Amino acid sequence: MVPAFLLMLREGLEAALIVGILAAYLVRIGRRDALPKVWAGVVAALVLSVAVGIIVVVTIGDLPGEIQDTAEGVAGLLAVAVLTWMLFWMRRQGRALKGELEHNVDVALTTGSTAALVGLAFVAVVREGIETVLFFIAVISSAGTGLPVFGGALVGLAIAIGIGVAIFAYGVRINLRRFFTVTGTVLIFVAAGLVAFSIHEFGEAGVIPNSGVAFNFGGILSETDPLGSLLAGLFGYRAKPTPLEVVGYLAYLVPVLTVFVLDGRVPFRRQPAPA
Amino acid sequence: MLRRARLPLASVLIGGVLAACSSGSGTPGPSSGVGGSGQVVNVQTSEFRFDPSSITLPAGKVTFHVRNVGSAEHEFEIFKGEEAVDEIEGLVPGLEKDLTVDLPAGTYSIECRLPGHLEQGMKATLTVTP
Repeated sequence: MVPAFLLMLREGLEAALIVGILAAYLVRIGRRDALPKVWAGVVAALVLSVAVGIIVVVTIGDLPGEIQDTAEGVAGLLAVAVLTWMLFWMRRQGRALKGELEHNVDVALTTGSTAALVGLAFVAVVREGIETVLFFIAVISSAGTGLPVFGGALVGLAIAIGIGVAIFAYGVRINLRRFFTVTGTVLIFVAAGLVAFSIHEFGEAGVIPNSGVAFNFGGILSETDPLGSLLAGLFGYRAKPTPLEVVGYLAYLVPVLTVFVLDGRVPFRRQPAPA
Repeated sequence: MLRRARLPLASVLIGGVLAACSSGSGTPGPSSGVGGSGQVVNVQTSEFRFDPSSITLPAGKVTFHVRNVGSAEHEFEIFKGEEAVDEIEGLVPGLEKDLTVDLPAGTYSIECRLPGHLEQGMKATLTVTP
């Protein structure tokens, strides 16, 4: 029961985190009206996941590894692109603020921007959704698994969603400056984790070579442990990454974090930072 | 304590569809080490090994029916040298999953690369003959 719980927690968090932050973000920039579109995107992603999962199992039995891995890699990079765009957009918006901070800023959101954010939610949920559906189907059709495994997985999923909801609730309550700072920092680490994840998936698909072991924290914290699962789901933690994955992670993290930190502790201030 | 019986209706329906369309991969049981083209090889994972730990097959299409009889999560990954061929992830205790691959002749290894598993010997050899 516990391994199934941790697996679903890990998988579910990857999507729940992004959707939770996204929803809070829309509320804080005064674009609550875009929320229904995000929920529609999430529901569409869930429906699509169930449909694809059932069709796959009934026809070819399972998704070919290469296709699945390549799709996951592409989905990961798409998420990195949109998250990075969100980060820098927040930074620009913050700079444009004058005077005292409102509870929420009120920002114009172009159709393209809304589409990008809804698209992010959709892709994040579909990516995990199809894997999750295939997993539940495997659980149901395995003779050796019963209610404990199914229930454990369901609870893991529920808790992941609960954490996403909690993140949303926290994000809409804290003051705006802190929201931008905290969200920005978290998103940088999430995006860096997704870069490493995409490298891993493309490596498994055979698109790029990705061998070797940079370090092995398996003895200290495996991603199948409870804390490891949390870190894996939220920040893409891996106990035994390849050198390329570490390079990719740092290649994103260091420059982006530097730009944000150099700009001042918060992603925005009244004057530009000294050159 | 909850009994085994009651799964949601949708799951029962899905299960029914699966049963009807199942390609009859057979019941998991004592593992066989040899297969033919298009045949099924039963493999069991546990801490920290594969059963069988040595498999010989003729080249062609093979379905690995992998069942986790251990108490930890495992993976079933086929490597040719350092190149990943295909894999099953997320194999929680009790779970069975199939992996169908078309294998050309050569020497492969089957590994679980979850942290600590390979180090504790979770590896099998796979020889595919022409």
